[in-house]
Amino acid sequence: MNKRHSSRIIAGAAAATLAIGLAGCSSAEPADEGPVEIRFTWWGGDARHELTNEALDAFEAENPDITVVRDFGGFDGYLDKVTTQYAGGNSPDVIQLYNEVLVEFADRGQLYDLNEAVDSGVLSLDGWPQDVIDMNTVDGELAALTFGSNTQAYFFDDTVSAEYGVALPEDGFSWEDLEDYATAVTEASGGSVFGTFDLSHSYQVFEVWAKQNGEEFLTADGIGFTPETLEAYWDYWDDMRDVGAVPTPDVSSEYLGTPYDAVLQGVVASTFLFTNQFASVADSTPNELSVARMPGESPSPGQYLRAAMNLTVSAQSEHPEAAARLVDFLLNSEEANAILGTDRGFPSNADVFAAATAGLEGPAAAAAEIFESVRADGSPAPVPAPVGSGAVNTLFSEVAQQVQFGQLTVSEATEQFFTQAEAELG
Amino acid sequence: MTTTERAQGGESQPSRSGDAPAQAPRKPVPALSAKSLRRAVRREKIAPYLFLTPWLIGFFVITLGPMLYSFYLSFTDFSLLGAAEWVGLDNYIRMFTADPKYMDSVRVTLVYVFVSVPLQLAFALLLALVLNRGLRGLPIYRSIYYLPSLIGASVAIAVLWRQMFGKNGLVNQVLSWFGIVGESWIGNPDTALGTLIVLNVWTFGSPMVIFLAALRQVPEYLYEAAAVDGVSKWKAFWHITLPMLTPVVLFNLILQLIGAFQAFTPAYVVSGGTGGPVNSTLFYTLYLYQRGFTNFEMGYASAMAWVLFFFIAAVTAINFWLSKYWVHYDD
Amino acid sequence: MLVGFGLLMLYPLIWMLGASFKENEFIFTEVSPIPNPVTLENYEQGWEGSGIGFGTFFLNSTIVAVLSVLGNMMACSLAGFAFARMEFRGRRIFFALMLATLMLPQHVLLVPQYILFAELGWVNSFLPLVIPKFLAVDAFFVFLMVQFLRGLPRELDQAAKVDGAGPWQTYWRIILPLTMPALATTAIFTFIWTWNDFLGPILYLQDPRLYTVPLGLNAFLDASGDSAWGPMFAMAVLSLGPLFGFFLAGQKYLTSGIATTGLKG
Repeated sequence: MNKRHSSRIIAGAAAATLAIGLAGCSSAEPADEGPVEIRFTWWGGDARHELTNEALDAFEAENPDITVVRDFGGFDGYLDKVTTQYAGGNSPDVIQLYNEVLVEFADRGQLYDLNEAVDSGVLSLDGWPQDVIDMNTVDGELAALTFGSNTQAYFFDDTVSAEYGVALPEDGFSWEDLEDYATAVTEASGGSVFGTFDLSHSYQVFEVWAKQNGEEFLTADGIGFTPETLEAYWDYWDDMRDVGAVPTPDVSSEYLGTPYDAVLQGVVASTFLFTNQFASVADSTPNELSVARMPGESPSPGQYLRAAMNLTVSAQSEHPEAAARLVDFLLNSEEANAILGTDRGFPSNADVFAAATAGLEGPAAAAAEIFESVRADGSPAPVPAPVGSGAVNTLFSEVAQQVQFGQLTVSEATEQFFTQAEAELG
Repeated sequence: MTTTERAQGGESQPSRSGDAPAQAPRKPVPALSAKSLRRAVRREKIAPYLFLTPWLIGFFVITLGPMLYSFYLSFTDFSLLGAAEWVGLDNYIRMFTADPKYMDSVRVTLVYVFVSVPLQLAFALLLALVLNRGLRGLPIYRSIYYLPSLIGASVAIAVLWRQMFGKNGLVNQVLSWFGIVGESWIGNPDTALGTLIVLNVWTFGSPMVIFLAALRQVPEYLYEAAAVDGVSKWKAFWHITLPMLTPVVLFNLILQLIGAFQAFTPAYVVSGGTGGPVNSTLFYTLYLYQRGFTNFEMGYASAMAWVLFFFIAAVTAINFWLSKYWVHYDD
Repeated sequence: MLVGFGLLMLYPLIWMLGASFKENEFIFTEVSPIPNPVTLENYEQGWEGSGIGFGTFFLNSTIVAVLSVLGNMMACSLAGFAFARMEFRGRRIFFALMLATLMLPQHVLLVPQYILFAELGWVNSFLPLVIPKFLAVDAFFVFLMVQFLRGLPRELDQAAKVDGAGPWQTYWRIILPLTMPALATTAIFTFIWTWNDFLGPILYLQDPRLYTVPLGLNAFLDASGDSAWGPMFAMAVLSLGPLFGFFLAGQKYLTSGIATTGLKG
C-alpha cells in the first residue's frame, strides 16, 4: 500500500500546480497512532445522507483522532464504484453492502474479519442475536454486521378499497383470501383498478412462499426447494391473471422493480414491500394505507427478519481498527441509533432497539408492529446464499416474465429455471 | 476557375496562386535562400508531430494502455475482486456456443442500430435545413429543439419516458380520444424497443447541430453564382448543399453508428438496468455491463467488448470505403 | 407547425417542470403536469443538497466543464489540423488508431483506466476528468475537426504558404477563424457532455465537496422507495439552466463561418 501513500503526495503536488480543487488528500498518514482518515461509503436518499452525516459528526466529536471521509450517493452506480475502487486497490474502509452481493465480496477474501475486532475488544457483540451473527458468517469469518433489518409485508390502499366497498382481508389471511379480495376490487372498479400486483417474478416473495412450505429459496449448497413448490407458486399467479386479479403483463413489467409505485399511481390496490419502505411510500400519496403480514403466514410462517443492508470493513483498509470503531459506534451506541432511527431498518442489537424506535408514530409505528410480530413468530433467517445467487435471482424474474407473456407454460418454465439455475450455481 | 464552374462542377482543384482568396492583404513573396528553404522543409516535417503532440501523449499514455489491458483481460477469468486467471479462448467460445442471452443481445442491438440511425439522421438533417433559414426567433427554436438532448441521458428520463409511453402515459391518453385503448408501450416486449428508438430519434439535437454548423460552412458565393445562373433552389440543394455537406454526413453516420452499437444509457435507465421486458431491450453493452459489474465476470465482459470492437471496426472500414463514391472533399 | 411540434417534443420537460413544483404526495399520483397546489419546498430542500449544497455542486461542475471545453477546443483542433491539412509519415495509421479508440465500449476501460489514474495519484481530484481533454482523448472531436477542415478550400493553405506563412500561422490566422462553427460545436457538446457525465465523477470523486451536479442529483435517489423525487426534479430543472444558457450563447457561433465572413472567390 506504499504506492497509494506516495501517490497521494503526487496528487497534492499536481493539484497545487494546476490549481484545481482537490480536497481529501490530506497529509501523510502515520501508522495507527495519531489522527487517521478513513473513508465510509454508503448509498441512500436525501434523508439518509442527512442522518448519517449527523451520526458521523457525533462519531468524530467522540473520536477526535479519526476523520471520516463521507463518500455517499444514490443506489445507481454504487456497486460499480465500489468494485472499481477495489480493483484499483483503493477501496473505502467502511462499506455499506447489500445482502445479494455480500458473499461475492466475502468469498473472495475482500472483507476484513470482524471477529478480530471483537477479540481485541474494539467491537462489541453484546445484544446481538446468534442467528444474525450466523447469517453474516462466511467460512468462519464474520464478514459483516446487519446495518438495519426489516421484514416482508403486504400493504393495502384503504381509500381505494373503501371507495369500491371491498373489505380488507383480516389478519392471518391466506393466499386464497388475497385472491378473493383482489378479484372483488377488480370487479367492483370495473377494471380501472386491479386488486393486487402480479408478483410471480419476485424471488423475494417466492422465498416466503417456500419457507411457508418448510423449504428454502437458496441454501449454502444451492437450490433449496422442489419443482412442485415453484410450480404451485407460478400456477397461483397464472390463476390470478386468468381471473383478472392482477394487471396485464405489459403493465406489470412497467412496475417490475418498484411494485409499490403501482399502488401510488392507482394501478393496483395492494402489493408487497419491505417494512422500512412503508413510511416513505405512505408519505407519497394522499390516500390512507395499511400494512399487514404476508399472505399465508398461518399455520407455518415464512417471513423472517432479514438484513436490509450490511456494514463491512474492507480487507484493503489500512486502518481496520479505526474502521471497526466506526462500525461499533454506528451499530452499538444509543447515541448513533437515536440519530439514525429506522431509516435503514430496525437495529439488530436489542440493546439499542428502544433508542432507534423511540417516538415512532403513524406508518412507521405500523411497520414496527409487523417487525415485532415476526420477531415473536417468524421463520429463522436463511444462511448466506452461494456465489452466483445474483444470477439466479435475475433468472427467476426473467423466466417468470416469459410465463406472464405466455411464451412458456408453467411446467416448461419450472424445468428451464432448474436447468439454468443449476448451471449458474455450478 | 470561375465561381460558376465551381458551383456546378462541385470538384475544385488547388488554384494557382493568382486568384486564391485570402483574409489579409498579401505581403510580397520573399525570396528563399537555400538555407531557409532547408529550414522550411525541416519545419514542414516536424510541424505535424508538434500539432499532434497532445493527441500522441493522450493516446499512448491514457488510451492505449487500458485498451491493451482490457484485451488481455478478455482471455482471463477476472472477477474485479480477485486476480485475473488466464483461460485462453474460453470466454470467446462460451459467447458463441453456450450463452443464448448473448445472441438475444446481438439481435436487439442490430435492430436498434439499423432502424434508429437512419431515422435520427434524416430527422436531424431535415430540421437543420428548416432551422438554417433566416427566420426571426430561430435561435430560440434551435435551442428548444436541442432541449431533449440535454436531458436524454439523465436519470430523470426513466420517469419521463413512463409518463410518455406507460399505460397511463401521454401517448395512450391521446389514443383514447380516438377510442383506442393502448397497452403499455414500455411494458410490452413487442414495443419496448420501439420506444427506445423513439427516444434516440427524440435526441436528434447533436447531429442537427453538426449539420447546422456544416451548412454554415457552405460558401455563400456558390449560391449567389447559382442564383445568377438561374438555378432553381431544389437543384441548388442537390448540387451544392448536399455535396458540400457529405463530409459531415459521413461523420454523423459513422459516429451515430458507433454510438448506436454501444447504446447503453437509454435501455439501462428506462428498463432499470434489466434490459426487459423479457430481454427485449437487452442492448449489447447493457448485457456486457451486467456480466461485468453485476455478475462479477469482467473477463467475459472484456471479451464481449472486443468482439464488438472488431465488428464496429469492420462496419466503419466498409463505410470509409463506400464513402469514396459519395463523399465530396475539397482536397 | 414548428411551434406545435416543439410543444409535443417538450412534453416530458413540461412534466418535469410541473413535478418540481408539486408536493411529494402528488408527484406520481396526479396525472396532470400542472401542479396544484404549487410549492417551492422542493427547491428549498433540494438546494441544501444532502448537507453539502447544490451551490458547491454547480461550482464544481462549472470548473470541470469549462476546463474540459478549453482542453477539447485546443487539443482536438490541433490534432484535427494535423490530420486534415498536413502530410506526414504514419498519418493514415494514426488516423485509424484515433478512430479505433471510439470503438471499444467504455465499460471495459473503466477499471484499467481507474488503475492508471490511481497509480498517478489523481483519484479524488478533477484531474482524471480534465487532463484527458487537454490530450485530445475525445476522438469524437478530433474526427469532427478533421471532417470540417477537409471541407475548407485548399486554396487557403496554398495561398498562406506562398505568402510565407508557417504551419502555425496558417492554423492560427487562416484556418481557425474559419472553423468557428466546428469549434462552437465542440465547445457546446463538450460542455453539455461533461456537465451531464455521471460515470467519470462517480468513480473518481470520493469527497462530497468535489461532487458534480449529476452526483448531487443521484444522491436523492435510493433504490428502495426512499427517493426524494421532488427535490431531484427541482435540481434537475435548475441544472438545465447553465446547459441551456451555454447552448444559447454558443449557438450564435454556429452560424458564423465562411458564409458570414464574406469570403468570396
